[in-house]
Parts: sequence; structure tokens; C-alpha cells
Amino acid sequence: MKLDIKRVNPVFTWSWDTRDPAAAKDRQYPFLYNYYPVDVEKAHLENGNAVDGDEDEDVCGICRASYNGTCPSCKIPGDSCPLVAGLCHHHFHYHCIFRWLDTNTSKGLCPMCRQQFQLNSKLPINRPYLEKFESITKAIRERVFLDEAFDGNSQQEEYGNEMPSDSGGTGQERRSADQSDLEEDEEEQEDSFYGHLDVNIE
Amino acid sequence: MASLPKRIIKETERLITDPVPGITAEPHDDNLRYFEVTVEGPVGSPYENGIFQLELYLPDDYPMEAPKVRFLTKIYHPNIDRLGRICLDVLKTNWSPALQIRTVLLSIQALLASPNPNDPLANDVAEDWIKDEEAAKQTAKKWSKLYATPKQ
Ligand SMILES: [Zn+2]
Ligand SMILES: [Zn+2]
Ligand SMILES: [Zn+2]
Repeated sequence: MKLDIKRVNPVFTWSWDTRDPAAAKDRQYPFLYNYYPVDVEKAHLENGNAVDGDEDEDVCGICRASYNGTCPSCKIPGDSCPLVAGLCHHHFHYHCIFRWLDTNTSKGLCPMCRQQFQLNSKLPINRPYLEKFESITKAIRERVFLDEAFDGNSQQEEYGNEMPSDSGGTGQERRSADQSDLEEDEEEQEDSFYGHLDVNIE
Repeated sequence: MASLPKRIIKETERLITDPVPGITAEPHDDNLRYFEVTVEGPVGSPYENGIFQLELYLPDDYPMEAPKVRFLTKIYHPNIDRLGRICLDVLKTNWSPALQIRTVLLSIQALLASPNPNDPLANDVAEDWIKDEEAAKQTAKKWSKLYATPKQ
């Protein structure tokens, strides 16, 4: 039997490369700097599993969408909605972790393990964002410092008579008790939450 | 209203198909960010046999911001005040977007099992609790019977 191959339709798939660069010598496609090809069948399996997400390893711990998908505000996966990898081995969509670090609650911590979130500077996928994260981390450190100083001075005024005068918690705990106060939700527009850093999501 | 993020849809589906024992959470028909919640009082606690109604709301910034949760049923507990507001670290300073509706509700159930009068929200209750724990537990039991017993 003789077969004539008339047309070939190659199928490619990609994935963010979060592997340790020490293992880079095994890399078959060094020219694919950010991406590495994965087995098509395996990719199908993974996509199938990603549907019921939660317990899946390869989902962003913040939005629970796949690493290779997008954050809730983006439509097109890939360079426009990149993945960043933490030193603690927790990975997130850049936009997701950025929004989290920009909240007062985050205190710069990884949502998964509560260690200071830092990028792994050795991974190529992180390279374009190292500088930006450096400045975020610095801003957070300053903000946490200011918050603490502020809380130490003005607890009385801030909580008035309404709040219990507990001796156990820190000023910061009570401040957020205020923030999650259901009564005040409607009046209190909390967009001020995001107004603290002068770095913006791009 | 903006469309519902996938994460919220997934969480809601799971709450319904794979509910946490002793807890129900159902989204409101016309606001899928608003949940009607019931929590059964933990066995062995003064709240045993009580069914407590709560409301849970996912703010626009969820999961960057914690869900807002409040007891609707009156409850005698040092960490829950008259307005049903709850003093629980994961709802405030220890919130993390890795937590979810179900983990929050589990923490609330755990708070019913182990009240913490040293970090109170309802000061008078906490005082009673520290002064005479047995009497306070009796009051909690009485209130549960009075307010948290489902009407047949
Ligand atoms: Zn994400
Ligand atoms: Zn994005
Ligand atoms: Zn981590």
C-alpha cells in the first residue's frame, strides 16, 4: 500500500515554563524562551481536568483559572496576561498577584503560604517584571511601616465609643474590623483601597 | 451589573453539588453575589441543635477582599455582636484570596465551637463569659433554643 500525504496540519500547544532553570540543559527548544512545547495529548487531559479546577495544581490560586488561561480581566492568554512565579513556588497571573499585593490586607504576603511574595529572579518568565515587583515590594514595606506608626498614635479617635476596647488585638486588626463593617458598606466607597501605590496595572 | 467571575460561578456550583456538612449556602436569584446561609450549631457546643441564618455578600473586589458575612439569627457569643457582625481574623487582617466561601463558613462554624472571649466583639458577652463560663454557656443555649430553633 502506498500513501500520499497531501497535507500536514501541525498542532502546537504551549505552556508557561516555570521549571527550574538549572534543568535548562534538557530543554529541547532553547529558542522558545518563555514557552515550551508540551505533549498535545497531555495538554488535552489537563484542559479537561481544569474544568472542575479547584484541586488542580495548575490553576492560579487567586482566580482559579488555569496558568495558561487568563486572569478575569483579560481575554487573550499569553504575553498580554503573563504568569509570574514566586520564590515560594506559588505561581499567579501577573495581574492577579499585582492586584492582591496592592491591597492593604496583603501586607506583601503570598496568598497561599503567607510568606513575603518574591519573584524567582532566575526564571526567564519573571524577567520582564523583576523591576516592577521590586518597586511594589518597596511601596508595601513603606505602607506597612506607616500604617503601624499611624495606628499607634490615633487608635482612640479612629474607633470612638462604638468599637470594643479589646486589649488582645492590635490596632490593625481593629482597623479592618471597621472596613468589613456591614453597616457602613454603602456609604464607604472602598476604591481608596487601591489608591495607595503609584504603580498601575498595564 | 458586571458579569460574574468564573471563580464565583465555580465556587457556587461546588457549594451546591458538594455542600459542607452542616452548612448551606444558596445564592439569591437576583443577586448572585448575595448568599443565604445556614450553619448548624456544632455538636457539643451550647449552639447544638440550633440552625443559624447568616447573610454572605461577595464584594466587587472579591477575592481581593474578604466576603462580608453577618449573623441574621440572634446569637449569644463573645465574638459576634448585637448586629450579627463577626470578629474573625480570616474575615479581616488574615484574609487571603486563596480562601473561599466554604473555608470562611467552616471557620465560622469552628468559631461557634470555640468562642474566644479574649478577642471579643461583643464586650458584655465576653465579660460574662470570662466571669462565669458555665452561666454564659447556659445563656447561649437558652438563646439558641429561643432564636435558632427552626419553626415547624
Ligand atoms: Zn489568576
Ligand atoms: Zn490578565
Ligand atoms: Zn507562596
